[in-house]
Amino acid sequence: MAHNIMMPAFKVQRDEERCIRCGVCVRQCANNVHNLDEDGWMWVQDDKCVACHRCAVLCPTRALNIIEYPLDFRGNQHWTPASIREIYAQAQSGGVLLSGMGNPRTYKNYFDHLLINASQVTNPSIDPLREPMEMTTYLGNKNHHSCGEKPQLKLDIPLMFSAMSFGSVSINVHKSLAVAAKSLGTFWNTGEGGLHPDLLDFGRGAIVQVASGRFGVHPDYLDNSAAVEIKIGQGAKPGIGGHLPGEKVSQDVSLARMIPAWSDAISPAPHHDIYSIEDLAQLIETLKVATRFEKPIAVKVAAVHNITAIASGVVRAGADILVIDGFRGGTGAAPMRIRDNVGIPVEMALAQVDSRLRDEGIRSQTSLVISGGIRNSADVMKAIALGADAVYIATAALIALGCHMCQMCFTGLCNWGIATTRPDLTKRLNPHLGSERAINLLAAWKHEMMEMMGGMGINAIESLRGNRLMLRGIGLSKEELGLLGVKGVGE
Amino acid sequence: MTIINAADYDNYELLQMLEKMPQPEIQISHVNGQRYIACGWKNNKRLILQGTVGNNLGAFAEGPQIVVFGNGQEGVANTMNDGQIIVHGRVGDIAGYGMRGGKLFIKENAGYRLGIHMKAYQEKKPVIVVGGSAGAFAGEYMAGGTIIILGMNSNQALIGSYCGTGMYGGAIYLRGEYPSRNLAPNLKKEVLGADGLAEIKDYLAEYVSFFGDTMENITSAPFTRLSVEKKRPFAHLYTGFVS
Repeated sequence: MAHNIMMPAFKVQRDEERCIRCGVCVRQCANNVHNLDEDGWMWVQDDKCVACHRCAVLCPTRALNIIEYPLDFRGNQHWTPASIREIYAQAQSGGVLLSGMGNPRTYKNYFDHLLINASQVTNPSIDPLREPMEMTTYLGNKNHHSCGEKPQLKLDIPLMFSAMSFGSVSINVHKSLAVAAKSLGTFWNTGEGGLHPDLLDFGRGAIVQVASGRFGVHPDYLDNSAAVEIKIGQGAKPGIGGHLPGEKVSQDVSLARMIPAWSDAISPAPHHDIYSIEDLAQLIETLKVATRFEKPIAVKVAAVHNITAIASGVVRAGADILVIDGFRGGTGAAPMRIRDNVGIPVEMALAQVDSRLRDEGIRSQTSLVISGGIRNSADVMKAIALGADAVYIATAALIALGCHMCQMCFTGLCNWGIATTRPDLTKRLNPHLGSERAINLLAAWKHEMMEMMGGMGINAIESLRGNRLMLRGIGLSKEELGLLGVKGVGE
Repeated sequence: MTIINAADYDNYELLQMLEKMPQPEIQISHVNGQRYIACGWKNNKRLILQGTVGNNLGAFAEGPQIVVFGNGQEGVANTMNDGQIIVHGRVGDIAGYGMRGGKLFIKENAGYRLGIHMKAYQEKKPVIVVGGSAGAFAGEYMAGGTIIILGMNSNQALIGSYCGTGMYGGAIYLRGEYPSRNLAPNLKKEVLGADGLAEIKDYLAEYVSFFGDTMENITSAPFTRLSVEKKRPFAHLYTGFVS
């Protein structure tokens, strides 16, 4: 093995005057960064630190700080420190670079180039504290002309928790989000790892996923659900399959997925019964038959170059809900090159798909749900104004539960009890507190949205949906404005 | 036994009627490509189907006992959880995809991607027995269960290319000669003696009872058992990295 020439990414600073040698940091760090000798000597291994901040947050005397490692490379605008370090890592291991969470690079963020409208004089604003504000959203096929009414999901807010599988996240994340979704009048998503037996009571509040690995898919799982989602792709890794590293396939995960414990759980890139839109139509129909046409069937695809044509095909294949996941979407593990270089921004995909489906006269046959890097209520407002019926969040929900975005989910050593299956780490996330924090977050977003809607003089979320006149682009080219279907500021 | 003529109904009428019928045993004649039969069923009804059944027969099902006097098309026993399907003919592609339990017996050949991503856990052990040969990618991504390919009634090579690619659990039993080209390199190959067949003896006996033939004839050729030595064939493909 070649000599490792990689310097640490982070430096742990301990204020010796504040440190009381209590050992909390030693016990809290699953990466073994902190060490306490028998003689009271504390020492750190910087190279193991992932900057998850667990030790710093729990240090009772605030003696700890973590900074980026101060040793700079000679300044170079092309060969950035990250690009040099990536080569060191690959030259050392010969491996595909793996990372967690969503695309962190500096690509243009269209949400940040859109501004929301408000009323002045000509139409009155509405105060959501005094007047009713309708946020109810129904997801499903609204084309009732043929074959009568289709099954719908009723949401009290146009927000749902996006797919994260048991295995990629801990059981306590599922518990937190399942409870929160029920309390908020919305839905959570099991992801592709099946439903843990402890959560059977929350199945009816869940959108259950059927992915290429078919983990945990059986008739009771399909029946005990609010809707079924066929996962074709996800924004963090369009075009490739899933890979739950063996480190996270504990006995519990092994049971839920029916694979050997500690083996890698592999989801093939395609569903091998779907090689065409016609095949997709067949799986949708199969699931409808299997659930006696009682549940909406969603299809989740990643936002990629030809998303409009794909979306048209998916809707024509019979998807009651079309989910489009943008390139900022998170993941428990994805090859870094794919996460950072494949896919397109969901804002652009959403605007184009909404227009295309309207042009083709099939928009009413499906509900459009988008996901991928939604950070706050303003992003949600902009997405709905661009044409989304509802928005999925996952990363934001995990941050609410304590995630510090260290992007090391694939190690299974999450110190916050989120992206782990180790019982001792899992119990660090208390599902009662977790659900409370998730409820708080969405309640706050809901109120912010009502305030913004009121400011526009709108009192129903339905009036904002696809209402691109409520948006103006700033710092965008004519072409970009045209593609988004919004006017520029001042127009 | 209740007898139905499939030609009298459209596909969905047939499915709805079958779902509602309380009879434990139903025979359907003139089956001609009707899809999704017994799809998602959670019962032990016995179906006897005469003709060619359409795609996804018994998909996501748990418990039905199905006999097909004819051929199956694509997706027979797709993600089936439990039950038994016996096909007195051949089947198309992806038979037993993601199968989680139950048994699938096929008298003649199976198409591509037979039993891919089958799984097993404790008492749930899916089994596929193919009397003829199987197409390419049989047992791809296989995580558990048993696939047996006998090559009894086939002039084709026993298996196509890339059998067992990406496999990480379970076992594939091949009877007699098989082409070793493009066989996944990480597979462990054991040639079995008569005592090596103990694990699958009951399945072979069932095959004989359904389709005729004799145990002596089946065991007259040597069997090879394919399995994986490493549960994590891709463990070293990736490198974690703090950027």
